[in-house]
Amino acid sequence: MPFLWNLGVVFIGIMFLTTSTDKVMHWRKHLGSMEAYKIIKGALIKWFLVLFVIGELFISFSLFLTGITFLNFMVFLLILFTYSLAILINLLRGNTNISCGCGSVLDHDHLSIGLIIRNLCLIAIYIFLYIEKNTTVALIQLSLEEILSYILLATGVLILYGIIREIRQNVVLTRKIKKMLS
Amino acid sequence: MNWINIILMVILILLVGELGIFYYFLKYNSNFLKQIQSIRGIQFSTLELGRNAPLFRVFAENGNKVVAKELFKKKNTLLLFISTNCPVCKSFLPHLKKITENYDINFILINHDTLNDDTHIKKALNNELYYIRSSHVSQIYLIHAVPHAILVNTKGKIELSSPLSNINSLFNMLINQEHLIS
Repeated sequence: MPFLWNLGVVFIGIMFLTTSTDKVMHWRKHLGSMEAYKIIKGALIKWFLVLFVIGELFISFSLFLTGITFLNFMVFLLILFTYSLAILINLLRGNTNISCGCGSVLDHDHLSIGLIIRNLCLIAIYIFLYIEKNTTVALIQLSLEEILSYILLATGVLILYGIIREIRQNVVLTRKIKKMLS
Repeated sequence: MNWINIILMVILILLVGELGIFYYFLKYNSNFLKQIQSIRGIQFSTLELGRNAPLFRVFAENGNKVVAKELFKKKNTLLLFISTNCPVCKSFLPHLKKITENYDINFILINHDTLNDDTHIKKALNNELYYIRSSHVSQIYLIHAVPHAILVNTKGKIELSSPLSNINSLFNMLINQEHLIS
């Protein structure tokens, strides 16, 4: 079982690493996404995006270097609850035709309750890993062979999630287009 | 690291690489489908029938709060999108009271123009009708031309959606709606 818990830790670490790098690489797109949420305005958007990127990078690197700690647990909860709250506010407003701005394979074209459920599932996984933190180790403490295996497996799981999501999206889009053209 | 481990690692790397290529292909395909979707002529100008009507919470012009979710639950809801100075919309005004008097539906009149004088519209209203001035609601319903009517059923799904050329086309939309017994 510790193997699965370690995989969970690496999975979350890689997930945040990819979402934060995606935010940096597509900076303007993510600024636009945050603006579309209509919660914060003006120059504040830029600073909040900087904070989110720093927070995500912190979670990612601290998971790799120190494993699960109280500090990265708190930052994780803060970030995920902030994202979920922002999505919930826009769902209640009916402003759903905007990108979620999640980044990398987690990105969605529109907001839905599914995104909040996904975030809650991630929170539940993290809480479980926090409870089991004594059985998990930081990635840096493992041998090179183990590090590589964990990184590859966690990346594979993350891409698999992305593939399933893309297949679903492709099917829905194809059906819509077929319906419109028929 | 022995040979078996090296071979396993190479297989794992190839597998993750393959998943990555598959994901990239799906992403490319869904971007292509989105481009088809946005080609002029087959662009989805309004929300499709059968999908959930976007929810909104706004204040009506009389100061009452309009909560779409609650209204949709009670009975079928007609959303009529108009603009202050649109000539066809003006021709609808004398007939608005007939709708609330004859049909057992919620009637929400949405004016996407928030600047011009709308006294002539207010004169045509009665207490049964919710009158909203908001460009936001028109945006979330993807309304590009007015007048446009959308009928939402009690499950919150879009039953009918149509641009209107005259008042008869609006009454045709309501042909299956329950009449009020006077």
